[in-house]
Amino acid sequence: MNLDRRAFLGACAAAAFFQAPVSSGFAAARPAKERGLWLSARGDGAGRYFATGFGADGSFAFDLPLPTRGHSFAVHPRRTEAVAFGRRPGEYALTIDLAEGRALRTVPAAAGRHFNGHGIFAADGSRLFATETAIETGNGIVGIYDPQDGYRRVGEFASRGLDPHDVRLLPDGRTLVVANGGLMTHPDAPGMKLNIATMQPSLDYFDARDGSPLTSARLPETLHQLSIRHLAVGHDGTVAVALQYEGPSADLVPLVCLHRPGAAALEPIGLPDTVLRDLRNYCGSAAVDAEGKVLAVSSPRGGISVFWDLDTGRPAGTVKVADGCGLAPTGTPGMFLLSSGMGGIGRYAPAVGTLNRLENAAADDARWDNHIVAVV
Amino acid sequence: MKVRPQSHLPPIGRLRPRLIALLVVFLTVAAVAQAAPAPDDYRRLNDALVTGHVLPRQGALAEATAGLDEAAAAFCSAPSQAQFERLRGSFGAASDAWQAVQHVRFGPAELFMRSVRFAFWPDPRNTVGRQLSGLLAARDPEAVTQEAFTRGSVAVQGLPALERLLYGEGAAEALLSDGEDAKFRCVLVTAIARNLATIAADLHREWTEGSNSFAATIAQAGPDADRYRAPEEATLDLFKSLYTAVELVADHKLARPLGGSMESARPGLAEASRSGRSLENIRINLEAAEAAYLTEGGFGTFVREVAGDAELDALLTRAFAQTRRTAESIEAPLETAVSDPALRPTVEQLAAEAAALKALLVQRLNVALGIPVGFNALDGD
Repeated sequence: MNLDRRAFLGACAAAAFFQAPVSSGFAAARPAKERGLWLSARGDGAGRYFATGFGADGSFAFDLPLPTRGHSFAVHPRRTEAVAFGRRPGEYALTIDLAEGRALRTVPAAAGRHFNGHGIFAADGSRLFATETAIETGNGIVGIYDPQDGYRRVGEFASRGLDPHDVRLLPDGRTLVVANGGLMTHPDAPGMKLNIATMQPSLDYFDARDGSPLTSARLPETLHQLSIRHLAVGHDGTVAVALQYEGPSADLVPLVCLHRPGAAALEPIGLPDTVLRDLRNYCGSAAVDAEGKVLAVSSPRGGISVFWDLDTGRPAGTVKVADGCGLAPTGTPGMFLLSSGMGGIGRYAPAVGTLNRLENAAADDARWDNHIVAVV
Repeated sequence: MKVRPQSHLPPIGRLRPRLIALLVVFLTVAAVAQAAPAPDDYRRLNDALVTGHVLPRQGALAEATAGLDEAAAAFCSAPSQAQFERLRGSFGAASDAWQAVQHVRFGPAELFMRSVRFAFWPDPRNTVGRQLSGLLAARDPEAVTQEAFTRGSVAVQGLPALERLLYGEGAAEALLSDGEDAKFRCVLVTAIARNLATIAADLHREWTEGSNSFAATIAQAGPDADRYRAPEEATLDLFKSLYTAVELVADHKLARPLGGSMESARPGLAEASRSGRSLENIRINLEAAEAAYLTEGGFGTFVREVAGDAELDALLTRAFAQTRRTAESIEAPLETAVSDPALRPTVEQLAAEAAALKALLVQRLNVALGIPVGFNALDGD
């Protein structure tokens, strides 16, 4: 793509004005009417980490110890089963029986590979795909596991970039989309980015049946320090891309882009400069609502989450949550759960504009990690 | 490896989680129980840290690297053992000055990738070694001009590359011999020294000079400003610098070479084993963190006088001092100590203390400062 930086930023500046009120209040908790189960990794402040399932009121359905900090989950589409992934450089994946709330099996990272924290099941549940890094080369790969055979690793394919992070399945049920963050990392320097001068993030599509590559999208070369990390997929297959900028913090760069079905280029989504600045060049999580029509993106550094109407690309509101990162849909269209690394989970619908804290205290005591995943 | 705080440090106090939730989870709640510090409290803290901590250290770095630049030019115009020793001494002084300010990674240091160009570390993939070998083999003077450095690989233009040229195996002989290889090595040494002096001078100038200096940017924090819309935003950057100094020591400079056990120690992952400065670097980093806390009007003053938390101030003051004393008590190079049954326990103790200190900063000091930083915000993925 040859969209230059000026045009790219101009598209941002031409964004629609915010129309929904900016929430500034935190209403009294109200009784939860919703059922459901959500998954999130958490810490407890004493250096212990857990894979936690919680219900609509925030009470824990299960709370399973993890050997190290966890990250995200994949939920099996047919069985009552999920997989928790260790945070990059993850040495394990943990399979969980959701009905009984117990750990089933620890799947160690393959030799010379580490997990990157995200994964997704094939539409029929016959395969699990996990983003991984080949430690020696740093190359990104997608590991393939067989849930019918004890999550045996049955293959892998190149992710076509470094540091593949989030991975999602499109509504067609057979296209995988992978966020190649572009960063060179190594387990001997955990958390360190070793190539910010030369990083080349990309968004890559694959046929889930055989891992064969389909299309690829990149940002303009001048924005090569925008790491493509988290994804959410709309009802029509639009892929929302949440970015993290590794360049100077004073730069104002697009942080959320859309990749429409069939489009060649990533298109920055509308966002006024003042709100863009609030995101602190760092998006932590992305999610769409139950109907795939409302997009939510969080910035824990800015303590703010931003919402859009995905079909029009028009901003739909913001809400402030200190260290808010986890985002997931609820069963109610337009309604999300938001979690904070300082404890607490809230329910929020941008169309309503009121943040309600889940009343169960267990949720308040947890340091909720980056992601919440809804069990449909 | 997992390092657990040990009992010789006072236990890290934990606020009742429920209270934290009410105070800070949803910051927009009006019911914040205690009076927040005033903007002027943050302004005074920022000013004290900038003038008392950041600027003198940037000045010292500019001075030390100017000395290195001179020493490199002197050596390469007439190579001799005496001038070589002087050059190594100047390298040490520049390295020390960098270690005293490497934690200040915001502002001018963010621009043009100056931090990584100055010191590409950690380097678990041996990028420095591989690219340096390539440069030496090619002997292309065009590859080591200042212009090439600003566009080219960040790994070969800073302290780690220079350390290899001055202290690597056979490096002294190679530099002091006759011939094309020695000449090119000298070209590279002078180019790196000049690059470091240029970066340090630019950093110092941008921090200090004119109405657009970064010191002025911090002082002018306010609703109409572009960079910092409130003074506490600059305080957050200064706090993160303090945290970075301790985090690098705990999680990288100590934890990596220590490994999980004596058998799995990895001395090769120490920061500066060729010049034997790994432990000294850690000491300087810890001293810098302690200085940011103790400096007149700095974090400690704020904890006592604004937050009114004398107990926390006493705890942090003890924690900094104890960690520093432990670092001072290790009487061997880090690379030796991690694999020595008699010395390793002290290194492990130092790692545990640094980890506990890090936890205190991010669980207690930030709360006292009124700038709570969550673990998603601090350590993202």
